[in-house]
Amino acid sequence: MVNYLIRRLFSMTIVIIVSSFLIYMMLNLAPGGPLWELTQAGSSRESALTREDYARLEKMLGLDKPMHLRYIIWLAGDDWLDGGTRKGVIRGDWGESWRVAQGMSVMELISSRIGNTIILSGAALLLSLIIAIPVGIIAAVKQYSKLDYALTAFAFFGVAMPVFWFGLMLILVFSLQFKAWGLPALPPGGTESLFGPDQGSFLDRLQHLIMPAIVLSLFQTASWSRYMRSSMLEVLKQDYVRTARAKGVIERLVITKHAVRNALIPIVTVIVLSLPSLFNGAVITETIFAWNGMGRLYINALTRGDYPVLMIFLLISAILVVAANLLADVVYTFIDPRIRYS
Amino acid sequence: MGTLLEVKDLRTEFHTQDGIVHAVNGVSFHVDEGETLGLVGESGCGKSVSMLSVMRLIPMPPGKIASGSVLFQGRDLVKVDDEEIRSVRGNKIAMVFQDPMTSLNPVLTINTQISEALELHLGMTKEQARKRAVELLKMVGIPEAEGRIDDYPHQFSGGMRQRVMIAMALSCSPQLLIADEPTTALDVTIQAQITDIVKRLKRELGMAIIWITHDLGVIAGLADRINVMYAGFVIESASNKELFANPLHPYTLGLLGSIPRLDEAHKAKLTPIEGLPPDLIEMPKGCPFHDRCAYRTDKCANENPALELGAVRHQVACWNWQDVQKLRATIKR
Amino acid sequence: MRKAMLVLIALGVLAIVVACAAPTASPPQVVKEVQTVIVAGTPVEKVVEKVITATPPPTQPPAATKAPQPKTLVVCMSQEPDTLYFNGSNMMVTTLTLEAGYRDGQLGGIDQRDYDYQPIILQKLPSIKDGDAKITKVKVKAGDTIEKDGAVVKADKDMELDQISATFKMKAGLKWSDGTVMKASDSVFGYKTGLDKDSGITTRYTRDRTASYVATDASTTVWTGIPGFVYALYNTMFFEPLPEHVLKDIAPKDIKASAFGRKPVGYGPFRVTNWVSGDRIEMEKNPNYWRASEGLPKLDRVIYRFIPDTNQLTAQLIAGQCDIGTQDALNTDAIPFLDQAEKNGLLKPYYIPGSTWEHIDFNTQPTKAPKPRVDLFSDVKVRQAIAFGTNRKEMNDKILFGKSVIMDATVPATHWAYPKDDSQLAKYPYDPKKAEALLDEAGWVKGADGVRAKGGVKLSATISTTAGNKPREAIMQIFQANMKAIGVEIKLDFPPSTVLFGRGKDSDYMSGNFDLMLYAWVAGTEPTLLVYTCDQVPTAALTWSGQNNTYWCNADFDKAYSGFNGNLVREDRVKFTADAYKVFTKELPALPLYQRVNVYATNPRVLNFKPNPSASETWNIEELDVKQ
Repeated sequence: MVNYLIRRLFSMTIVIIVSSFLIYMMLNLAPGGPLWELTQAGSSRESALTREDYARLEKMLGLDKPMHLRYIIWLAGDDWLDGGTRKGVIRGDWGESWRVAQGMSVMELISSRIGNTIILSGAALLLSLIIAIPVGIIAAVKQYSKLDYALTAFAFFGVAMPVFWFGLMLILVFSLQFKAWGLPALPPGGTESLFGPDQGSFLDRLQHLIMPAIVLSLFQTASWSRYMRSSMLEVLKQDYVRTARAKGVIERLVITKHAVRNALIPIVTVIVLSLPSLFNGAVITETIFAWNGMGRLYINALTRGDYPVLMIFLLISAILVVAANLLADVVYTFIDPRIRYS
Repeated sequence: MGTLLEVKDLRTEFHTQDGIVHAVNGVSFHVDEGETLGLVGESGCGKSVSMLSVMRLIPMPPGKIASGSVLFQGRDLVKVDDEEIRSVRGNKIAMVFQDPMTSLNPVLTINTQISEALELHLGMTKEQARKRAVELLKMVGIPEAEGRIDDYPHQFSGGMRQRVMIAMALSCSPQLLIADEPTTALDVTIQAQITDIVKRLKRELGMAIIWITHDLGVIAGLADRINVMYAGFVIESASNKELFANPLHPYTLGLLGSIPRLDEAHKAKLTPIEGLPPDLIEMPKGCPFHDRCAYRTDKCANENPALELGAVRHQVACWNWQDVQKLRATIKR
Repeated sequence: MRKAMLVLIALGVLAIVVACAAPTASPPQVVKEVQTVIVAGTPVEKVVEKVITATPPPTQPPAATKAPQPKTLVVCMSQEPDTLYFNGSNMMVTTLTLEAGYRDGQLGGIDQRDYDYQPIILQKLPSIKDGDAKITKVKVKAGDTIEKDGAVVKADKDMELDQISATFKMKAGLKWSDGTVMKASDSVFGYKTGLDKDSGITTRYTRDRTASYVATDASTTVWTGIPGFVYALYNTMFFEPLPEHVLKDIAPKDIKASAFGRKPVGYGPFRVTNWVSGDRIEMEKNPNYWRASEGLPKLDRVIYRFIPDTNQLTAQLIAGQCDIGTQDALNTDAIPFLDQAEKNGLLKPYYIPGSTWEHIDFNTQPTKAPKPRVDLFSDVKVRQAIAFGTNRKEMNDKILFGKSVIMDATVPATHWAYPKDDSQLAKYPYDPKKAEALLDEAGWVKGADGVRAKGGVKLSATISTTAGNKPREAIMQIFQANMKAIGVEIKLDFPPSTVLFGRGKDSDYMSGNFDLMLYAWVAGTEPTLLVYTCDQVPTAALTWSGQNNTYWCNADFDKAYSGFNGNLVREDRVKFTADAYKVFTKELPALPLYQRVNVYATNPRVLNFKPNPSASETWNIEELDVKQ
């Protein structure tokens, strides 16, 4: 196992370095870039960027150097070169944002969003788990019953419902219409109230969390419940379930002790592989509900060519995806005794 | 010896999208205490389904026991409530399944799986159950049982797993062991070992056995009595010796013809039975075997024969069994 | 497209709900109370019971009546400013936020309303007429820095040139928000900071053309331009002050990353107290505001929130969580919904024809491009025909719900540069018959398929615009149908804006590889004329960096432009713009369509909201107030 982990960590490192290089190249080659919006300013002489201006700004951001050198500086810093001060990502220097929050360190920028993202994605993840697993089990155990059909209908609703539309409908009903009816309404968006006695309290934040968490978890809940259902159906057909029944084990234990544990094995992969979303956030949901999370930061950085922010975001995402894969493999060894790595 | 299990007119159906599959069509038989009954037939002839029906283990839906009774120790197992049938399963009647590779739960240790029934039916504590599980493993001949009790199924070979299955089935000293083709999935040498273990344990423990197989060769050395099934019917029932000496049903005859025999390996070719068993959804009106039968008459196509006494302790369901008997006699000569 | 449909349906449903809700809708003041009731409870379901059955918790009414709540205004915009250090940001939302949290006025203490300049912290704008600005003839030696033909160059020989200087006098009582008195030297410090090569300032146009900028006393600065720089906006050459006492020890390149970048010490009506990155900027009343004695600002707190989604922002407005929705966050799609919401008293929308105007550029020299194209539009008659055949009123009615105005020249008719007497301008009311006659005259004859052709060449053109812009997509469709009616085949093309406007060695569209192009210019105080001059025609030598995408070059127009540009007296300049527009509208290198509509909305409780097309919507933030 230790050998296996060492080998995996080694290959992970290579994968991450290669992917970071490719990401860097692709970002830099894409049209647009950090100076793009400046070049678009205005039809007057005062606001138009001259070539001298452009060259000066390029130099300021270090964009005047050849691309491979820029990548090396980004990765390993330039304090070993003439006049550089950058330490490079591998020595913990994440750089400063160019566009999203000029001059702010990327570390600070990301830490300002990561909490909200973990709260939202984590809540959605928990909600999905709490709902999807039992729903999948019940639907499988009661296959072809009315309950099963109802849960199937829910799952199709969840998978097919466009997030922005569903979110809008929730806002419409639970924020606006409820208020119009004089009922207690949920806040339409944001992470906390801006004023009022409860501003920023746990309850206040919880109220802001409810709708986005539901919207974000809907698709996941629906698809996971389908996974769970089919996995469970598969397991219930297995001989060992019949063996358990032949032993006279009561049905509840047949399901929970014999079937669910086996049915969860493939689901765990899906769940573990979704863990990077705790960092990545959810662009659409965050946008609809004005939730100040990583997804919005990413889109903002992407549209404005904020390479330092983008690179760290994508790098961490890549690390998390690779790590989640490793984690899934490791978790396997705990839940499935048949699997051992060497 | 008294009758342990009496099955009367058992009918089991499966309701599928294509129609009703008539898997078991009015099967009646009995098992005496301590007796070994062989249940023989091709795949899909209803032998497994009839036994699963006895245990009420067929999946419902789509399966359904349409009629009949299963009398066991004075109770009709078809009618008792779920609680009661569970107290019988694994306790009074135990079952060993065909494929040991899939019949054990891969994520639970052997100890957990054996102890489960012991704790459930005999009210043992975990420690007691574990001790007993080790004894059981020793009983079925698993070496170093103490060291292996906490292993997982995948750490055992196929033959060893079947031993575990048998140990599990025998854990509560059942009065009836249903062995559903327990050796089919195993190597020939392992098959013999398993058969020997069952024989030995039967001697030691004295339970009745219903041994399901499609292989007459296996059953010949085991059974006291043999029921031959075809298309959901019992078509012939006789004592072991009688059946092999004097088969009366053309199907049984066909089965015997398709057994490879060591003593005449090069003399006669195996003669397979031509054709296929009938569609269980649209059962033919007459004898289910008539399509494939060399002895068929017009009557066979229209009327289904019932079991009738053909010889001493020998029942057969065929309109023309006398002709079969005569003809066979001439061939032998 | 599907997404667009759904959004429309969503808005429709929203409108219906709002309509249904109308009779029961609470008066706006109640909004906050309802909100607090909600906030008081834990799970929402339980609160329902409380509200219906139980009396409100007794602790609340006293709390509400005791001290008056601070007057808070929430401005909601779609984007977040990238910095509050003005050098280096060109975002509209930065300008907007800076007007409250840093400075007073839109740039350097000067406002820009109605396409003109107003002094805010200056006693007056200098003018040559008043004598506080003057043009003098100066002798220039070879090698001196001068401006020639719009470029900063070294003089090649001794000569005599015009030189402008202007004197700016600051008002009395100006203070930084930390209480320090603001001095003229702070403006000079601001000027010098921008000179640093790493200051991050985007363009150095004016700094490059400044010979000297000095403080002559505590409240007076004098700007002197380089010889030859005859600059009509000399009266705005007061540089944005920076607090020297705060920043003197910080290198210009480090200011952005310092505390000043996000919590500047300014002289605006408010000062930043808290910036929650990605979510909001909170500001409080600046006690040292120079107009504090007038009771300004009227608000105690301002919060700028960043809400990227229009629907969310609208919901927040209706829910009373936003007081002002800015123009960058709202668009013309929302007009029917906003009108409906206004009827129900939920919010107040404002539609102002803005300074951004859409136009269709003709490629007048398509054969000279590196990737030559068929010549369709070098003939002025064809361009005029297209103009007559384009139903711009339909565009305004269908896309902007009639809220805008059609443009005849390159400035709005309300702009000072628009000729008082516009009868000299060629106008192109929708007249398909005239269009067809012009095309016939030009030799383009209708073929069997209804498309005109001349010498075997079909009158079939591609119009290109930026992808993902719904109003432009709608314009394109109307244009396509209009053109089909007069026998012109139009194909639609939607490249991403980075491709369409990509300049440099590898320019595609910008090197002339297009027939027609739909995009917008922004009208400033100075009219949009420069971009149609000959020296702005992109060339390979200058890596296609010119701005005249029509490739149209006209001596008469250039003459009018240089007359306009070299003149400092507004009355005379208008004469030159009239000349320029006479040529422009007749030659028509580009067809102006309409002014984009700026859409704003406020909660009905907001007072004194007076949006202006050429100023930010909160230009009078110190005077904004809320009903309590």
